[in-house]
Amino acid sequence: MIIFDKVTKVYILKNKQRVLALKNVSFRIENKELVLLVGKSGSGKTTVLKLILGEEKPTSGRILIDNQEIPKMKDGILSKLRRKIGVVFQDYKLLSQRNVFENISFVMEMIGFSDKEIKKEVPEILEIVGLEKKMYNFPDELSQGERQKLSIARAIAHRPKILLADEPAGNLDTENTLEILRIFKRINSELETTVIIATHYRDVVNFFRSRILNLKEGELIYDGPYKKIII
Amino acid sequence: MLLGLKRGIKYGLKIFKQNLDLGFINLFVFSITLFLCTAFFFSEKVGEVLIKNLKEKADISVYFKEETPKEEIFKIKEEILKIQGVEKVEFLSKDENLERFKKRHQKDSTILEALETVGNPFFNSLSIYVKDSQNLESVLEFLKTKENLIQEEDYSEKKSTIDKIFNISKNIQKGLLFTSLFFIFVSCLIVFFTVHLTILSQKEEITIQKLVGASNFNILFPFLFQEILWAILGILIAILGFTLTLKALTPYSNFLLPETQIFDIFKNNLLELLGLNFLIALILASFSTFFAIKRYLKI
Repeated sequence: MIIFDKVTKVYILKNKQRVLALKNVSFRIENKELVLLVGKSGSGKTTVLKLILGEEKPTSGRILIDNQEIPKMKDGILSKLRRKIGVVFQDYKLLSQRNVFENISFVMEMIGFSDKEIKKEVPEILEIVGLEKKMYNFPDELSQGERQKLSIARAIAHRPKILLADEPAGNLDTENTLEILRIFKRINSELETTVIIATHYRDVVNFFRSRILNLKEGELIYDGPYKKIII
Repeated sequence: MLLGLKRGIKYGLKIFKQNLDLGFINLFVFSITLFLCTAFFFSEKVGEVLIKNLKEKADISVYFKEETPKEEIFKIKEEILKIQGVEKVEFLSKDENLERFKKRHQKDSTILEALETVGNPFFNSLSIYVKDSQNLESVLEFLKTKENLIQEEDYSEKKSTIDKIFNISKNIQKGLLFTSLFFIFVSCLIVFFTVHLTILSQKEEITIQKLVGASNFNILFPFLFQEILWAILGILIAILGFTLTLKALTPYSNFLLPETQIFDIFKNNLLELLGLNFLIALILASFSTFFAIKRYLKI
């Protein structure tokens, strides 16, 4: 379970200018939920994801994951918590010098999976995202859609409890977008992973018809079931 | 833990191979620094051996005035033998001293010819051997009471040589210490910057590692391992360079210090020198790597 309790985040820029990214945001996400974090660019979606991941600390308020308060965590405990979270980055963050298999195994190695487990599980994960035939290709040899699939595969490689995706449909055409969204749905229903997708695409929202957290200029203006919204 | 170490070594080797150009800069700096450190520790060892050798030879020869009767000298010998720590006292007559001198210089015709002209310049003497150089003080105190009978004693001269060597050795060590410290500081900076550059090329991997929950040890260890590899190569080059330098200097050292086998001192202390070098290299590599990578661990 993820709890945001009156979270405010202010970024202080290099020229000392203060930018309010989130203002007094509170919500609760239950396990196995699929939640859509919607809002225009700059509304604070990515900040929410970064706060969940512990990449940023809130200026005020509390963030709890499974009853553990993230900002107060020591580095070692934060590392362990991060192993429960998978992230699909907006820019994929793939390692260009490693092939598809290695991009995934690299993360699993870091987390402490044995070689045997890696050999067994990587092909299975690639099958979930439909990349089993591209196992030894390098990211440069993949299409945009395939790169996004690889990014998803890497995010779920260690079977996280929570999956965060930042604009997963951002660089994709309609066909690839649909395919990717179906994968997220499968991950949520079959692997019972809590999925949080940040997006500003109405089509994505309409595809999932799931709970919505709507942000506008750092404020949570809607938290409720699916409805047709104007982003 | 073992799996983590194994993988750390694997990644370390990969980074090592990927960044050979930066590594060679590291190697160069490590080699110079460790060469200087070796020189510093070695100079200390040589100083110790030189002083020890001199102290071991610090027995006293006392030459008596021409007019001192032999009976008096024998009495003094008996009294000296009673002093604690005195092992042996040997009487040598004027003629025996001359014979010994001639024997020592039998190949030097100039000296022998000079002796023919001068006659016997030697005196009756007592050679006093002590168990430990610390016992010399009481002997010297006793001899002071017999000053009127003594022509000269040679310990004071030896003592001033010991003091001189001690001072020279201390000064050389001081110089080497400061030079070594300076180079250790420079190496720290250079290793820091080269690790920093290596990290820049791996920044994306580190970010991903950190965000998926890799521990700081998992991230740090490969970089540390590759630095240790360069440091070990640096130690080998420094020791090899030092061995060759010492070999080249051996003829000169044999001339200046005929009774001190400099190369043997090196051989006898090689393991200790290697150990000290490894310790310095390890500290240097660890500190530089840690400070270079520290900011990337804060994600």
